[in-house]
Amino acid sequence: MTTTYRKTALSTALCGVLLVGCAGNPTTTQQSTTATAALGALVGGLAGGWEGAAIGAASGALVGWAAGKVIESQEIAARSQTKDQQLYGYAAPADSVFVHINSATSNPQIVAPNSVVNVVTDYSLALPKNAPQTQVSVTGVLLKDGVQLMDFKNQPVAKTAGGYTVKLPVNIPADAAAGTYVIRHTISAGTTYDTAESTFVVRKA
Amino acid sequence: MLTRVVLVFVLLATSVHAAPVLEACPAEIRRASDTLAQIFRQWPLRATGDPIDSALQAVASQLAERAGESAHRHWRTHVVRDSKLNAFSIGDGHIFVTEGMLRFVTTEDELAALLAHEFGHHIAGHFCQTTAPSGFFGHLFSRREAPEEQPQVGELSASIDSTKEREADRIGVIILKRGRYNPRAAILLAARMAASGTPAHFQYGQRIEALQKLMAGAPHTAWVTNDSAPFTRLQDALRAEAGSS
Repeated sequence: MTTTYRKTALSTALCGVLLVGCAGNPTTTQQSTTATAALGALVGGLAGGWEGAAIGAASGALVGWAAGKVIESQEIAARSQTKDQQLYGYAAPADSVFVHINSATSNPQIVAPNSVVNVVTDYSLALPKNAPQTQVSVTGVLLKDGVQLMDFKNQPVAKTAGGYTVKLPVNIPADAAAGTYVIRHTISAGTTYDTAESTFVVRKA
Repeated sequence: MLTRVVLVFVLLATSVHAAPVLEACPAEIRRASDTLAQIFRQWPLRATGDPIDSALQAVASQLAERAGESAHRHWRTHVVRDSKLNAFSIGDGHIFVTEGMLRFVTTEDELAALLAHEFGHHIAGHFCQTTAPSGFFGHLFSRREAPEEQPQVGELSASIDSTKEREADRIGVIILKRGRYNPRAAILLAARMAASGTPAHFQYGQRIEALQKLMAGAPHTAWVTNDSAPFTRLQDALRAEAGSS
């Protein structure tokens, strides 16, 4: 076939996928996640640290949300790298770090005020061959009607390649407004990050 | 010397308009489909319909339209959630650009130069020139001068040769001219990447010199490009996200 452009006669040698695997032992860790109110936090924060942030938050639509409180999250090394490869059909990167969220859920999906929603993020971490581990941070944002109510931040933790599940219990305050809430889950590692959303509905009796 | 350079440009321009555009070959389509499935499984990509993803798609579609490259291929851009500077293609019109690269470009001409280079790999038929099972990544400004290099992007690897990169550059410049973008943006982008300390995957100096030769004879002031609506939308989406994070 002719072309509008002159083609080279050189052939392109393509390479296949690198299959690099290493097994790991699943472990369970407890982490402290700090929940902060995104709106109002600045004013309140200036007034006096985390408690102030909560007060600032309470001045708006954030009454009752656990701004500034420490939430105990649970992170499980759910799958070794080999299992992860088998499950999702991919291999370890050769020269860069990759994170990929496999699923992001909020359970239960319909809740009453004064109850708990478990925010669960399952992700895969792939590392270069010469990097045994890398720092991974887990963050989340709670939104309602497009307004950010809270965010959750973990201190970055060094992790090996494989699959992980993070479970974060979020208390739904007694005075939570009815409606649909969105959780934006974000995992960051190296120069990459991945984001996914899940929703739950607060329904008053 | 000047006469010779002008003649080269005339011949290139003539050749561009003289023959039909190369379409994706069956092997390219098959390989791209396989690679795409793998990338979707593992890489952190922005979803279709995401404001940044859709704005980049609109910029690419506009470039293709203005350059007369939209009839034979469906160009599809994807945004990788990665702050590194990179852009690459896998064939069948699929072009990947990292968020870092999108934030790095400062003008629509630079972004057009980046995309035009990737168009160039497709149009040159680089993805039809192999029978290997996986994808080829034609990186923008990211290759060493070695004739056969095997850089890796994520878990995927590719063999790149400088001849193809130069060919993609050359076609990219033609596309920019036809689309009425400033082709000198390709040089500016390469120079800025070199200055930014981006890992020297390619010999910036040689590449810039080659691009400068392609530009010889082109007017300096006739390529003023105003930011189009899609590019403005992309910039706004990037700024909005940076502001909310």
